[in-house]
Amino acid sequence: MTLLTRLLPALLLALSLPPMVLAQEGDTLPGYRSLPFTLPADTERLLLVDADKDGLTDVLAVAPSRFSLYFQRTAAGGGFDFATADTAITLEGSSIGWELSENYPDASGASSFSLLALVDGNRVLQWPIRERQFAAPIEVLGGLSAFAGAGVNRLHFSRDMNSDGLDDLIIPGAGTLQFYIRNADASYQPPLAVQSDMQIRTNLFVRQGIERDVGQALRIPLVALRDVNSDGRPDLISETEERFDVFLASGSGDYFPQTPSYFVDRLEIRERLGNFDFDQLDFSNLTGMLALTHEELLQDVDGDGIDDFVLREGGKVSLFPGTATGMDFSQPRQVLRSSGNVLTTFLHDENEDGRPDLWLWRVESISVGDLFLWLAIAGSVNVEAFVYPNEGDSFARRPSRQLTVALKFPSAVRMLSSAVDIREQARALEEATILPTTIAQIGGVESTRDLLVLLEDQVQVFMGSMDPPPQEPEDQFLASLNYSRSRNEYEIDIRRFIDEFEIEQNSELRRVEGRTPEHRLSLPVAMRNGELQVASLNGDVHDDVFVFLQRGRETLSGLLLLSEP
Amino acid sequence: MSAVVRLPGALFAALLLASPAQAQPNHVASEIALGEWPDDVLREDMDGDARLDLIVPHWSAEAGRELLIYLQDAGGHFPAEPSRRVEIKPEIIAFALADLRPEPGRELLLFAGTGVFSLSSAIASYTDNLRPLFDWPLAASVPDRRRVLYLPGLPDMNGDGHADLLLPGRDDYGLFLGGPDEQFTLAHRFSTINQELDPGEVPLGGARLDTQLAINERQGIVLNVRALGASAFEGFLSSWQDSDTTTLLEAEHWQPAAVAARMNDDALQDIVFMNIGNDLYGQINILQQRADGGFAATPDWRGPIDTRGDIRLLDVNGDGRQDVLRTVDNSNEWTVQFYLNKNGSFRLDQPDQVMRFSGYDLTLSVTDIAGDARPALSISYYTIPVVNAVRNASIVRSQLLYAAGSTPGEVFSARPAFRLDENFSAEAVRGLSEQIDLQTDLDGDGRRDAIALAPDGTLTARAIDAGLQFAATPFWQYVPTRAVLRFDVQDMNGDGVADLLLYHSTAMTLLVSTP
Repeated sequence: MTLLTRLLPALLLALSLPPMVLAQEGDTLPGYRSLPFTLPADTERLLLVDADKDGLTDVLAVAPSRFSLYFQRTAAGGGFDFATADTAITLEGSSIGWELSENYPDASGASSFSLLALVDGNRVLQWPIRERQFAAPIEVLGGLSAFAGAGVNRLHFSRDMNSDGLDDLIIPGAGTLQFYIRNADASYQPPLAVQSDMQIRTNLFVRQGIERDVGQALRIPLVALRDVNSDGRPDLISETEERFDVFLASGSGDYFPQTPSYFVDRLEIRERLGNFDFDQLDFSNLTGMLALTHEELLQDVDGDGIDDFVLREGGKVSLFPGTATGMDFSQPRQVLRSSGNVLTTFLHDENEDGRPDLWLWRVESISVGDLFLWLAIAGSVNVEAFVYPNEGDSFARRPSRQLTVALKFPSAVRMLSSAVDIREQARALEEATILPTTIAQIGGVESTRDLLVLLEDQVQVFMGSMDPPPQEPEDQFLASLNYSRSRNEYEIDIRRFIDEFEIEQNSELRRVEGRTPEHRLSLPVAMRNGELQVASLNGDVHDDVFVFLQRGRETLSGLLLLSEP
Repeated sequence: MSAVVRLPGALFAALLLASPAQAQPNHVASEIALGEWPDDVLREDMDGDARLDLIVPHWSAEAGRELLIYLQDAGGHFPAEPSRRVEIKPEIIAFALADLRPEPGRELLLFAGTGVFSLSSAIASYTDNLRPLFDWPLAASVPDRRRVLYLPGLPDMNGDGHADLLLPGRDDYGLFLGGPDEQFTLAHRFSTINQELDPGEVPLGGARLDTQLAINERQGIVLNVRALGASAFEGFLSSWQDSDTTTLLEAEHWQPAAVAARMNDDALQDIVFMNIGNDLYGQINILQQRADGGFAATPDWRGPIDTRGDIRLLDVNGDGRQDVLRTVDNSNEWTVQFYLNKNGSFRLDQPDQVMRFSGYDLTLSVTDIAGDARPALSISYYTIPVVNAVRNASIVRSQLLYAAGSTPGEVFSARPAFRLDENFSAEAVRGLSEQIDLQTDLDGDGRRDAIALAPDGTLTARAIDAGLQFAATPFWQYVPTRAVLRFDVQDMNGDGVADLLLYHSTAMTLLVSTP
C-alpha cells in the first residue's frame, strides 16, 4: 500500500470539510446558471441535439416508447424548462429502433429535423419537428421484414450513403442488411441485401448454475462505405466469415448493383488451405497451423488512387491490381512466398517514400513441449517482420529489412497468480471510496482544464489543475515499440505490465492534493451513485456540466450548470 | 467422409482384456462427419423405434441452417449421409425436442421471437407440418444467421408424462404445461427480478474500471487502469453528432435465470432462481409447486447467499432433492461449500461441509459408484511442479474420490478414499483431452467404471471396487485409429449395454453394441 493510498481517506475527508482558505461558495458557479431537473425514473438516456436548428443544443429524453424534447430557450433568461417537455410522443410497438436525422423533408417538403423509427420490424415512420412540436408521423417505408431487437433501441439505420444529401436506410434482417437508397422523389431504389455477421450472445437455459442470466446481447456492425475506385462515389465493402464483397457505386441507374462488383470467397480459400485436423497437427510446430490462415487487404498499392487487393494464404501473398470498374483477379500482378509460420501482413510506409510497403510478420516454431515448459517458467517468442519495399506497381522480390520483436512473458502459473492479485485489487475497490470527477473548461481559457469533483452534498471546482491531454502517435503499434528506422531489435515484455499493474483510484484527486477548490457548489439533494458529465450546449467557450444526482423508484434528479454567454 | 464398419466380434473381444463373467458384446462402428459445432450434437429417438438417433446442427452458404438427422437402424448402424434434413427458417432462434404428436418419435419445438411452433422431422416440408402452439415474447428476439440454439431437457413439471416449458420472456418467465394434442397452457408467470427493490438501491456492482492502452515513445505500451465510482448514469448522456459509425445496433437485455428442480419431498418439480434481496445481498428463491400444480405469487422460501464464485444446484447426497454447491476459486486454491436441502429450505449462513483443494482447473462431480444412493465425490485438478516442468516438461493430473460421509452431518468423508496422480508430458498430451469418466457401468456389473484416455490416446476402462479403488489394469481398452478429443458413453440402442461415442477432430465414431 502506497503512502498516498493510506493518506487518501484523509484527503477525501478534507475535501468535504470547510476549507481553510476561503473558496467561493454558493448554489452555482460564477458565470453559470444552475438548473435543477427531475425526470421520470424510466428515462434511459439524454441525447443532445439541435432539434429546432437555432444553434443551441436541445435535450431529447428517451424512455421506453416515450420521447420528450426540452428546447433551449433563446428568449431572455434562456436555459431550459425541465418541468414539462416542450413536445413529446409515445411510440407503440414491441420492437422499436429509432434514429434522428436532419435529411428528411416534412409534409410541406421543407427539410426538417425528424425522429425516425423502425416499428415492429415492418415499417419506418418519421416524426418531423415543426414549430418545436412533433408533427404527425409520415410513413417513409413499409412492407418490411426486419429484426431490430426487442424493446426500444437506438438504431443507426438512417444515413446518407451516396452523398446526395438525402438519408438512405439500412434495415437489419435475419443475418442480412437491406440497403434502401432514397431517390429525390422520396421513392427508394430496389433494396440491396448483403450478409452481415451479427455478434449475438444468447442464453435461454441454465442447467445448474443458478447465478447465470438469460437473455440476449446483440451487436450489428455497419458495413464500410468508402470510395475504392477513385470515382468520387462511396462504395460498399461487406465482410463476413464467408465472403469479402465490394459493390462499386454507379453514376447512373441504381446506385449499387444487386450483385457484388467483385468478391473473394473465403470459404473457398479455407477449403483450399484445408481444415484444422488434430490428427495432422505437428506437435513440434504448433504455429505451423498458421498455414491454414488467410487475410485480405483492400488498399491502394500502386498509387493510382484505386484500391488493390492483397491476399495472404498461409505464407503466399498475392497482389491483384484494382481497376476503375473492379478488380482484375484473372492473374495476380505479383506472388510472394515466404517460408516459416506467417502470422500476418499489413501495409505501411517503411522507407518514407510515401508508398505503402509490405510488412510480413513471421513467428518462430512453438512446440507442445514449449507450452508445457512455459506453464512453470517464463518464456520468450521471437516475431520477425520482413519489409518488402513498394517499387511502384508491386513490391520488391526480396525484403529490404528484417526486424525482430522478442515477446517476453512470465510463466502461466505466474500469470494466473497475477490474475488473482488483479482480481483482489478490483474486489478491494468495492470497499474503496471513489469520487466521481470530470475535467472541463469552466474558466473558458482554451489551454487550461479544470477539475470538478462530485461529493455527497457539493461540487468542488479546482481551476486550471489538469494537464492538457497527450498527443497520440499516428502508428500506435510501431510507437509502442519505440520504433525507428535505424533499429531492428525490439522487445515487448509482458512481465513488466504485470509487475507494474495497479488500479488507479481517484487519480485526478491526487493532482489537487493539498489544494483548496476555487469554487464550491451546494447540491439541492444528496448525491447517490451520481455522475458528472460535460457538454457544450450553447456554443460558447465554457463547458456546460450535467450533475446527475440520484435515480429513485419514481424520478431521477440532477442539476445542469449552464454557462451564461 | 462417413463410413460404416462392422468390427468382427473376435477383434473387439480381443480388445476386452479381462471382463470376468461378463458377456463381451460385439460392436458396430459408424462414422459421421462432425459439423462446425461438435458440442451441439444431440442424441434423441426421432423415429420412435426406441433407438437413439443423432442430430447434427449444420450450416452452409447454400442451404443455410439445417438439422441433419442420422437414424440408427436395427443393427446399430448409422448411415453415412443424413436420413433427414430439417431446414431451420431464418426467423427461428432456438429449438427443442419433445414427443408432442401421436406419430412415433420426437418432434421439434421451434422458438421464434414471438411464438412457439411444432414441426415433425418425418415430413420433409414445413407445409402441412408447421403448427403454431402459442405466442410468447421470448427473451431473445434476433436469430443467429448460422447457428440455432438448443434448449435441452424439457422438464415434466407435474409428472403427467408431457413435456413442459419454462420459458424466459422479455420481462418475466412463463411456465407452460404441456398436454395432449400439442396443447400448452400458461400455468404461471413470474419475475426473477426482485420487484420490491427500489432501483436506486440496487447495488451497481462496485467500482467500474476504465482501461486505457496508452502509447508513448518513452515508455512504449502503458496499460492504465483507472477505477471509476459506481454510477447509475453510465452512458446516460451523449451527443447525437457523436454517434458510432461502426455499429448499426447494440442492445442487450438480461434477467436472472430460473431452473426447474425438485426441491422438496414431493415428486413435483419446483422453480429456483437467484436475485438481489431486499438486504442488497444475493438470495436464492424457491417457488414450490403445490399439489394442485399451482405456484404462489411470491417465493415460498428465500435465503441470502454470498454470490462470489459459482453457485449451482446438485443432488450431493442422493436423496433426490437438489442441494446447493458454492465453489470459490483463488487461482489454485479452491473452496467448496455444500449446503444440504432440508425439504425445500437451506441454512445458507452455515454450510453443511466445507472442503478445500489446491490445484488448477478443478472439476467436481458426484457419482453413485455402487448404485446404492450413497454418491461419492469426484475431484480432479492439475498441478504444475516446477521440477517436473523443467526436467521433462510435464504436469500432474490428480483424481480423487471421497466416499459418502459416515458420520452425521458429514456429506463426504474428509479424506479421499482414492487418489490417482498421473504425470503427463508433452508426448502424452493426447491423454489430457478428456477427464476420467465415472458415470458409466461399462461391463454391466452394477458398479460404475473409470473410463479414461491413456497417455497414448488409448481408451481404457478400469473397474472401481467397493473401497473406491481403481483396478490396477484396465478390463477393456480400445485403440482408436484417430485421436479422440472427447468421448461420451450412452446406451444408444436400449439393450442395456453402454455404447461409445468418440469425437475426433472432424468426425465422430459411434461404437454400438450388438448381440
